[in-house]
Amino acid sequence: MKQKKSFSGNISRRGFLGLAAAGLAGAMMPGTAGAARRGEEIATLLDIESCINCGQCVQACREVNGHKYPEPEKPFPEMFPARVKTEDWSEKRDISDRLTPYNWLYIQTSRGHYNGRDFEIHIPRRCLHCQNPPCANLCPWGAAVRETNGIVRINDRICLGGGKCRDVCPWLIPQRQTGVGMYLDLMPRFAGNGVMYKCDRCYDRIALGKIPACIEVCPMQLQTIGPRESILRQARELAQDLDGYIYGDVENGGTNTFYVSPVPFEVLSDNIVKGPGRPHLEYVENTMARSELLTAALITAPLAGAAAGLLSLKAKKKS
Amino acid sequence: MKNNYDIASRWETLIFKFSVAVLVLSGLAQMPLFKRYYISEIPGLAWTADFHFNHILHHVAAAVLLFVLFRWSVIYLRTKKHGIRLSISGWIRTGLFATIIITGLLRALKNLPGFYFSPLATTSIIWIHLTASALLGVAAIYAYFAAGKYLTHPNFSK
Repeated sequence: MKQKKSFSGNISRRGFLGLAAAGLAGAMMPGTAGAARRGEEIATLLDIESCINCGQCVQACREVNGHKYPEPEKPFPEMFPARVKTEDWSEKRDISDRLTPYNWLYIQTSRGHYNGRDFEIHIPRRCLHCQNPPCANLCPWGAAVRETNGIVRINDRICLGGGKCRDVCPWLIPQRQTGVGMYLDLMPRFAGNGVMYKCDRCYDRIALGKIPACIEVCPMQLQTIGPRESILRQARELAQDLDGYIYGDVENGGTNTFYVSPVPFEVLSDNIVKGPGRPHLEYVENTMARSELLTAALITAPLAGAAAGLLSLKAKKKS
Repeated sequence: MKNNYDIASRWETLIFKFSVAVLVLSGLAQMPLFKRYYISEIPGLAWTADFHFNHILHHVAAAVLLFVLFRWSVIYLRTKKHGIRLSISGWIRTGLFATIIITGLLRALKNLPGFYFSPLATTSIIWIHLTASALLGVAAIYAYFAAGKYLTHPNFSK
């Protein structure tokens, strides 16, 4: 890393450029809306060195997505067995320092010392929208889905709130609210526990050709959205310019969110508060890596079975 | 084997039944129920709460089942001309198996990078897979108690 680079949250050269550009074009690459409509993967780039922790993205996310937030029915059904805990965030809607069903984006701060210098870097955290998302692949109920434009979202009308999506997510992103959703109409005591919530990358705004609220309001224009290949190329150029690092390009087999930082992400991860609703920034192996092998086995098995049947018939005929 | 008119040997039938049992167990284990209901806390059953392990187990058992079913299918299609036919119970269960296999394969394809289905298609595939599996369970229990066989043969009819 080059020593000349600033690690502080002060406005950087790129930040000034971003401010100058603000209001002119937003942070959407040309052709993004068309690419999203055609079902091409859309990704976002976050130049996190520019984040000043103003919280406008968090506020905008709440305002734009507030109508999607849960309004639970109380009292909650008694759970069976009794050790199954309900999760209620409805009385704590103002919490903004972690992910909750009412806060799909929060800003994490990493302070530390790296390469002889102090740093303070703010990182907007939300779902990374994996290319091959375990939450959507392993949801047993079909509630978590991946759209062709790369958005991974949970259908709150059918989610039962079992929480498997959170268990298999390498960052434990989805958050549960008890007392809402389809489980109330099935066997509320015995199966399900509400609905899981997370960033849906403003899929409804994307469908209208708009950009996600968090990107639109950012005064530093630190986020850019566009076709994945173009955004990834831009992320690599920025990382090269910074002599920095990218997070999200290969993690969990690749995501549609690329963070670029002048400080290595393992260093950032060591200096953040981690825990429930507060994801790490460590390297993640592809949790769905075996899918290709397993699917190949499923395609080969019937062919082998048919061949074995023909061979045994032939052998029988001979004997 | 006398009940299936020589289409299936005893060991093949055992493998078939075992793979179906593993599929049912690993299929149920896709849902977060085994931990909730203390089953994974029984010594030796901790794996029932491991979603990734059960995902792999389900695929392996499905591959075994597909091998056996396609072997039988080829033999059945070749020997059908000798008078062996699927019974009504056999037709129902074969249809349900076919539905489960097709939707299962589509689900497996969905998990590949580069394969995308619409949200409606994804949810429909999963719900059809689950419904057909439940119906097959009912049909299998009925066939067991009614002594219904998959195949019939004019020479074996009552």
